[in-house]
Amino acid sequence: MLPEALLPCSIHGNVVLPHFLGEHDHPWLRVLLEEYGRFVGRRQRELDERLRAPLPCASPPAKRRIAIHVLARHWGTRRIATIPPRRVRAAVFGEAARAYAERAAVVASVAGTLGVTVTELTEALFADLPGERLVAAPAEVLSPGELALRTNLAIGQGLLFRSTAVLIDMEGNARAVVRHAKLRGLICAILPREGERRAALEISGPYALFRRTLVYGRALSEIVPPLAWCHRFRLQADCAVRGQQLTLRLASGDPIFPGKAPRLYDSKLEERFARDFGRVAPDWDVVREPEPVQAGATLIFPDFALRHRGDGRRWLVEIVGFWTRDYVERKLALLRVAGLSNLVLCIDESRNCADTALPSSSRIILFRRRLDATAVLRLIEQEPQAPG
Amino acid sequence: MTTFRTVHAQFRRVAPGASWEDFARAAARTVEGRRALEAFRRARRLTAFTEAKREMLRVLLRRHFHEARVLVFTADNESAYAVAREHLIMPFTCDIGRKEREEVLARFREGALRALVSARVLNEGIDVPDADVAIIVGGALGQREHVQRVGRLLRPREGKRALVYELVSRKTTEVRLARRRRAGLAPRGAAAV
Repeated sequence: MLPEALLPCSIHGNVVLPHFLGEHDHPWLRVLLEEYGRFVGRRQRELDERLRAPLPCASPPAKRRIAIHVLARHWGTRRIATIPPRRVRAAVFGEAARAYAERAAVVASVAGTLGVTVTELTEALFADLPGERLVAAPAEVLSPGELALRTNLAIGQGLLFRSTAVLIDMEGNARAVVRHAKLRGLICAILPREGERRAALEISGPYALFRRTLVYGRALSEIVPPLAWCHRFRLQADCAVRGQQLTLRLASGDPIFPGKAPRLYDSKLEERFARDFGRVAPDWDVVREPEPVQAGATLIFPDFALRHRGDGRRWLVEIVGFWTRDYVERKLALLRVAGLSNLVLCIDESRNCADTALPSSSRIILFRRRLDATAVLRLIEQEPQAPG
Repeated sequence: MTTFRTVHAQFRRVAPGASWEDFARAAARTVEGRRALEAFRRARRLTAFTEAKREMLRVLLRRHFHEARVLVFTADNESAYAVAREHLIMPFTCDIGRKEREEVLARFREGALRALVSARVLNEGIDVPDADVAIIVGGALGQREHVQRVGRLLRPREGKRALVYELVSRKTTEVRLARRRRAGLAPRGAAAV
């Protein structure tokens, strides 16, 4: 977790305003990146030493500190050691303690025992320690603009780490965010919102928990990059900053690093199904990630919508991961309550997590490893017209 | 140090009763102030492990090699590694993994290691085995930390005699700080060497 002192922000009333980096920061960020470049192949401590001194151009100290922190995470280090440094330390310092001898004699004796040269031995002695590692250029060198965006992301995440409750309103591409929340096991509730492709996510913040706040906070902060891929979002969090309970607001348009684009398909299985279905059912359109559907007090995120080009019939498809009979029964009950008769559940037989068999339903398609597109087409063609 | 002295003197004129923290906060706001702080830090690093201290450390380590377990304290990790490289003493720092540190302490206890060098890790919270000699090479510690360091050597034991050496560079602030720390220690019954 970033120390609070590293977070450039100010307080206005009961709102905490992050000080994001913008274009006006690019000149000094460029200088900073050049400094890093100059130290490639040199020891990390030499770079740390250099970065403690001011840059040769004006740079806001608070922003510079966090930009350095972000760069340090992005730039790697490598060690030069032909033998494990820990083994070298045990041998060298043990030998030195055995009997008083000149340094050179001790080093030469241990090098001979370990079968390395004196230079290799002395290089390996502390090669694994953070300051002794060599600065290595990253695979992808950042531009000043990208560094600014990544730094802004770190600022936003650092503040979210201090939250007790978070509410995110999303429109479009909400699925990636919801998927992240579920995959990382965040304590959250999905709330329906009026309007197509809209949803809200209510999440507990790390500061509302008593244990594992660090792991939880990391998982929560990782929700910010996929948020940037929503067509629109508004995040509001209650944060404890500088001893006060404050509100943090982030929204679409904030200059935050968006991370990787969400994958179109969650798995190869889905990708293959979309391709197969397009081939066997040329009259149907396959819509990936349709808008969430309200089912009682919660939302269901179907994987596909299948729409007939001629008569407009519309079916939803959800591919179930691991399951138990109880889970599927609850899911079917939920669909009944919601009146969702046009949803097909596709269940992988091999992912049964209990010994019990599946409940019978005409809306279930079983498969093993590969979802049969023809079977799905047969079901939706045979079934009476479902409400769109 | 001229850069530092000028900026510091200016600040003292404006805010006579202000603390060091006040000064550091105010200095960080201007380019000149930041340069002054950097100059101060550089000067501190230079005095932390001077050539004279290196030589003196060599003499002391040689003197106590056979009969004593020695703890060497430095101002920072960098100096600790410099001591470790030069005098082949195992460093005990936060960079060394927990498991290795446990092994090191065990070996020190058994006598397989005769000396350890550390910047801060040995100060608090770690059960360091008894030592007979402490050599303080550098560090601007307060009285409390100094007493803790010395206390590690002065654990009561019958017939125990412990030695604490503090190496200070002449004509630097180290002399004044060392004197102040020693004054804090004296009423507790420790004799400075």
